[in-house]
Parts: sequence; structure tokens; C-alpha cells
Amino acid sequence: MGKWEFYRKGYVRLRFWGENPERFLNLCAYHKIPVWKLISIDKAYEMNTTVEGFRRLGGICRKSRVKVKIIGKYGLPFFFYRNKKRKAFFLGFFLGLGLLFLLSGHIWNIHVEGNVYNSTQMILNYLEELDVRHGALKKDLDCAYIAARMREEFPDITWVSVKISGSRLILEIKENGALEEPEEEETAPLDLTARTTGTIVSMVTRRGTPLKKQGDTCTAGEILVSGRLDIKNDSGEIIGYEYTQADGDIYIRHDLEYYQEFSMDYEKPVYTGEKKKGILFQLGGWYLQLKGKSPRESYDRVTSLCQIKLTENFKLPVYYGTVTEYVYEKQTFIYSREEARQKAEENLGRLLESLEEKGVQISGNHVKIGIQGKTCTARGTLTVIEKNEQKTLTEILEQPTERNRQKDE
Amino acid sequence: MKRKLGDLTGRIGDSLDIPKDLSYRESVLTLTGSRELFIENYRCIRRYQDTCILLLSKENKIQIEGTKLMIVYYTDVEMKITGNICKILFL
Repeated sequence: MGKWEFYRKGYVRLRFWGENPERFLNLCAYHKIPVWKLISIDKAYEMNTTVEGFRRLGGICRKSRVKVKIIGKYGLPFFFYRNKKRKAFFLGFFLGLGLLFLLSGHIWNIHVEGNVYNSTQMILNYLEELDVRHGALKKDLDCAYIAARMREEFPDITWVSVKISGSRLILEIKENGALEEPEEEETAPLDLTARTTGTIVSMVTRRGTPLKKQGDTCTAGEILVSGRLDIKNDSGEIIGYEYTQADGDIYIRHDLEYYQEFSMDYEKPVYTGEKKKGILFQLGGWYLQLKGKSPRESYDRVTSLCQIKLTENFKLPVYYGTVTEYVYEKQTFIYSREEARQKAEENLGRLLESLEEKGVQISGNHVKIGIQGKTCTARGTLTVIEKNEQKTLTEILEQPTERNRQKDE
Repeated sequence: MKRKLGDLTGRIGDSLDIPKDLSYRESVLTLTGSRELFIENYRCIRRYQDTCILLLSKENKIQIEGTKLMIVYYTDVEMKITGNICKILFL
């Protein structure tokens, strides 16, 4: 019988002494009463025996003239007996065990690894569509089915492994980043037309019939490269049309009007240094703010929130954080002439930078900054060179009838 | 007479390559260092103190001397003793 068995059934520690303790021990062995941890202390002995064994000791004690005293009771039956008044403790213990058993049947952490192009949130959202979410029952999940659906939904995922480990659902993903979606080819014939009026600086035609050349001027909406190809016979007469999607790179130089004005006086918040801190709790759409009343009406509020996470990706709709209100006063300032000019130049510089980021070349800047009374004005034109064609549908003409065929008819 | 019979069965056992603890009913003592002793085929306990344990076997008496001797467990055929074992005597 193992230690756990003795503990489960309960055992006692005895002290015995008398005339024939050795005979007592031999009789115990003869009657197969389990005895362990036997020690000799002075003229007495101490040993452990089971509850059942202790009940059979009566006759043996009498025969060997030994007296027995219980010095300790151990094991589950004695533990329950001693704690029989602590019902809430046992209730809590078994409730905890039950809860652990119940909760261990669910998924509490979804771990996604190996994804670069598809974000974890995107994958979690899709899993939610498949009813795979935090708290889902483990027995309801089919890993092979989830993996197959993942491969269908995300074509750039080349390999998926889904496995359940404890209360975790682990998705290992390998992606093919070079995969490109096939472009749908449009079959409708297209012309390239000018988006703005200007001068053609450079023109490279890859497909279609060019109607303009480098150095020509064009107006907005004018066809630059036609998607219609004229088929001519030996005598130069048009005998038919073929259509294609015109393609090419056309750079047009044109002017952009620039105008900006702003007032010389402006309002700016000046922080007084006074601030008020508070604590904020958010549960779904409900807020609880533990903060005193704001001292002024004008303040900037900075809120810092943290979301409570049970596991790596299992986020509860519960937030906590702090709210800080910085009190300010609005004051009016006036730009000096230098400051105003600098501000106007900064604004223009930002615009030019954004144009260059879009691939627009600035070939001329004719913006002048002037200050009249309480207004600063920047006006003028910017000469830019940009890829400026747009695609429009080609007009489909009726195919010319052949003269011979007309004669036959 | 009984001893002679025992010797005879022992010799028969030897000729059949039967282990001696079975053929002669001898005690088997397994000693691990000087801290643990395992005894099989003993008959009874004659004396038990924390410095001396005297056991009877079929053929002789076994006396184990030492300090802090404790019988970890025992049944009618085997016994495990721990402590600082100094001496084992066959009397």
C-alpha cells in the first residue's frame, strides 16, 4: 500500500510500552497489521499503523501486556473530521476544482506566429467568423478545418498549422509575400487624354496612335494617344479600325495658381502650469471618471488608457488609465513682418515638398509674399512638370464598308 | 534429524541451481552503505532498541548494532532498517 493509500484511508501514530514489546511486534507481523516508521524511545516505542490495523490491536495488546496510546491521527478522514465546521472552505475548494475543470475545456489564448503580411487582428477577425474565439469549447474546434479555411481565405498563406496545446490555440503560418493578385485585364479600348492644359515636355508611347508630339500644346481633355488604329489599304484609304488600350508616359508642363493669406494676429493657448489628474475606468461604452471638477473652462485633456488582457490576444473590453487636464488661457499675438514672411515660406515649402513626393517636378516658382495691413498674402504661379495623362474610353466608330462588297450587293 | 533434512534439501537445491535462500531457507541481507539494511526470510524480532536489533532467522541470530536505528517497515518475511549501522553479527 502506498503512502497516498495510507493517507486516504487514515492512519494513527501509536506509542506503546509494556512487558513484551517484541512479542507485540511479532504478533502484529503475524496478523499482517501494517506497521511502519517504528522507533524506540527510552523504554517505549512509537509506530504508525492504519485505522483498521489499530482496531485489531486489542487482543495483541492483551496477550503481550502492552499499553497503547494514540499520539497522532493523520489522513483524509481525520482531516475532514477536524474541519467539519469549515463548510465554506470545502465548498470553495470543490467549486474551484469544478471551475478549473470547466474552464480547462475552453480556449483562452489564441497565438498566431509567422505572420508578416496578414496582421494578427485580421486573422483573429476571420477566426471569429468561423466561431473560433476566446472562450470557445475545445471539443468544438476542428484544427484541420480551420487550417483549410485559413488557406482559402488568405491566398498568400502557403502553410498553416493549427494545434491545441492546453488552453491555447496555436496557429503557425508561413506566408509568400511575393504573391501578387492577378490583375483583371480590361478589354475596353482606351485613349490617353490630357488632364490639364499645358505643353508636352516628354512623350513615350507604348501602345496606341500618338496624336501629339513633344513640344505641342494641349488642352484639358484633348486626346494625346488614341486607342484606335486605322487599317489602311495600299492606296491609303481606311478600310477598318482596330482598337487597343493606349499606354504611354506623357509629361506636361503647366502652371498652378497659388494663393494663401492669413491674418497677422493670431490666438495661441498659453498653459498656466495648472493641471488636474484623475483616474478613468472604461467598461465597454461606460466610463467612470474619478476626478475633481476642472478649475477652468479651457483645458487640454490627455487620456492614457491601458486595456486589460487576460492572455496574449484575449483582450477584455475593460480599460483603466489616467486623465490629465492642462489648463490654458488664450492670448492674442501679432506676427512681426519677418515671422509672417517665414510662416508664408514654410507653408509654400510644405506644399512644394508634398508635390515632389508625388513625383511632380517644380520648374518655376513665381510666388510673391506681401503684407498689407493686418493680412499676409502669398500669391503667384508654380510651373510644374508632371505625368498628366488620364485614361478615357475610346469612341467606337462604325467600320467603313468595302467598295467591292457594295458593288456585289 | 531436522537439520540433516534441511541440508539434504539444500544440496538437492544446489544441484538444481536453485538460489540458496530458497534451498537452505537462509536470510538475505541487502546492505546499502551503512545507512540502510533490507532483510528477507527472518523469523521474528527478539530485541529492539535504537542501538541494537536482534532478529531470529532459521539457522541463527542476526544482531544489528548501530545508532538511531529505525524500522522503516516490516512484515512477517521482510524488514527495512535505517540508521547508522556499525556492526552485523551472526550469533
